[in-house]
Amino acid sequence: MNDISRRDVFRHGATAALLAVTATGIAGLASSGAAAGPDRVATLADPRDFEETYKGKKIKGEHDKANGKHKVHINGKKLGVVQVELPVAPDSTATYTAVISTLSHFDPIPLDEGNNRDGLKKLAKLAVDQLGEQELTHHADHSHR
Amino acid sequence: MGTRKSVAALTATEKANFVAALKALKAQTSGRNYDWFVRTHMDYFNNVNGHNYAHMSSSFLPWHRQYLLELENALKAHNSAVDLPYWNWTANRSTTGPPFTSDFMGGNGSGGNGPVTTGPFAGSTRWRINVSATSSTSLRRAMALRGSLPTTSDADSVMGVSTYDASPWGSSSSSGMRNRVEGGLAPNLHNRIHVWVGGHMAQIDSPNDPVFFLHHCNVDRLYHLWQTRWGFGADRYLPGGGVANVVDVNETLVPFGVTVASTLDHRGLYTYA
Repeated sequence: MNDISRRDVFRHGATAALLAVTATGIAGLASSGAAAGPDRVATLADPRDFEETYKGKKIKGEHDKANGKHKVHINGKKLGVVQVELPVAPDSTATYTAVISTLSHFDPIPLDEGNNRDGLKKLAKLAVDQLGEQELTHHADHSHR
Repeated sequence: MGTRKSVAALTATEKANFVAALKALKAQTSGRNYDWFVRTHMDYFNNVNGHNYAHMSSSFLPWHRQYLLELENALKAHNSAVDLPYWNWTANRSTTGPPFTSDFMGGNGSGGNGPVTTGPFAGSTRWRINVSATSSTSLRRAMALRGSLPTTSDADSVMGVSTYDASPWGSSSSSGMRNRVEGGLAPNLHNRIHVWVGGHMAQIDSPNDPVFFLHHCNVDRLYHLWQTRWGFGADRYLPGGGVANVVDVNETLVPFGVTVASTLDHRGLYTYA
């Protein structure tokens, strides 16, 4: 696995997340007068998170910007999701972030906060398309990375 | 020594023997049966002991070479005449031609994204799915809905890359042969086949579809062709040593108990026709 680039991505991502959370927390504190603390920071949702019904199945996605440990549930059952780094081009040191699941392990979907901000939702919908009338089993939560 | 043939060159008897051996391994109640191979592949999608042995790593090709050999030997225990065949997807590109014929692997899923309805693996009474991320107990395929098959030109371009792999030895390696074969880098010879076949082949439990082994046999054949051109020696595998959390040439491939180096020159065990 690309430990070096993932580490860098996570470090920069974590720094950005900390700055964003701090700014939001300060703004919220100023407007509401509520006491800020770890619990309040932890409950802030990622704007890319989703919970909706797609083709008759409930899909829920929670992003983990800091650690890349995103969560997807389909009809309440957990789908194993892994974030990976892939090269943008041959012989380039630049990488892009993508997500794969236990149902689409060979089919990475780009995920970022720009044009690919809906990558996790695309992954969830692809899983529903693949499932058809099926449901996930407990093996869908199998670790893979 | 066994000779691995193209699925398109198999006789009716060879196809029948291969299918029967797969079913005997599936029905086996002790030792490493077919579902052991499914579980093992699932387990080694994960990082084990700090290493990615099977996927997104330098050891992708040697790990699967040994995995195929273990399955082939398990099939030979039921019929010593059986050799693993390969599906050359650059030549056999139809959803109804070899290997997807009714006397061998069977065809597409019902409605293009459902249970396979033809051939010896259609339906849970003929071939029951026991370990899977999805609830169907029947084998499913969704051919050609997503992905595409590599061309001869794609395969040839990869065979011309002389370096086996490159740092950081994972999904983001931007040069070398291994990631071009595995799929992190274009032309992506391996991953896109799983996507193209779809159904169980797209999932973490992809060995539930016996086509998995025909596909990976072709991947191993391409590795063999690369080695024929660039060398079978241990010096051709990278990394050579001293890289933490990456399977170096003299490290053991878990769970098989053999080193990468011992898998590289397979010519005493099998060859390709």
